[in-house]
Amino acid sequence: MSVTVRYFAGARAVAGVDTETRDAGSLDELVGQIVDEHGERLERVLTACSFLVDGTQTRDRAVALSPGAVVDVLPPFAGG
Amino acid sequence: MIARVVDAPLSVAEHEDAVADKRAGAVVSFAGVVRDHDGGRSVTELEYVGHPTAADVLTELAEEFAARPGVHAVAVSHRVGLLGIGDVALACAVSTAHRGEAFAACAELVDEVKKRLPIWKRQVFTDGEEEWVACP
Repeated sequence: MSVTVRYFAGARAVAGVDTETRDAGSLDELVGQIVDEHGERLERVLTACSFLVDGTQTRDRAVALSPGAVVDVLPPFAGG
Repeated sequence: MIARVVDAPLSVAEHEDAVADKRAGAVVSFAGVVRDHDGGRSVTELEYVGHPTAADVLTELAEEFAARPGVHAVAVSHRVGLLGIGDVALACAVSTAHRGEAFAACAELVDEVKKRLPIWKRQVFTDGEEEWVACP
């Protein structure tokens, strides 16, 4: 099932891309794939990230992804 | 009510004016300003980037605080883009009947913005190194 991943800020910097398409049925499966692809630096950043799955913020990697889902990778916020 | 994420200079005075209210005995404002050092290192510039939902989250926050008992009005803006030392990154103002409520509401608003607003900060140091703040 095709899902879109969007990287932001520090996650984008280590992934080296803004957006990519993956085939994954859960957030856990997706995280495994992107860590395999982008390596240890992304894995480290992901330990601090939350995810926005179709507009809902979560840290629960068991979340199922529906076909066409959009998953945003959000590093810790640092405004102000 | 002002609640904006903008790529342009911010004016704290504009935010103070926006919360003017005849019932208000207190206006407290805050400016979050780019400083030239962080963690003992010299900083040359900062870049803030926002998630597409940042403006909506800021509006939600402003509405939440404006609905608090005793709060008459709230104005808050965050700047994004490349900022220099001394530039205002966060401007806010709160008006209430009495000063205690205004100090408290303004301080809590700033805390909530830092916690909930999906905005990130890239810091460039004088030695050319850079980092995304709070990102491991």
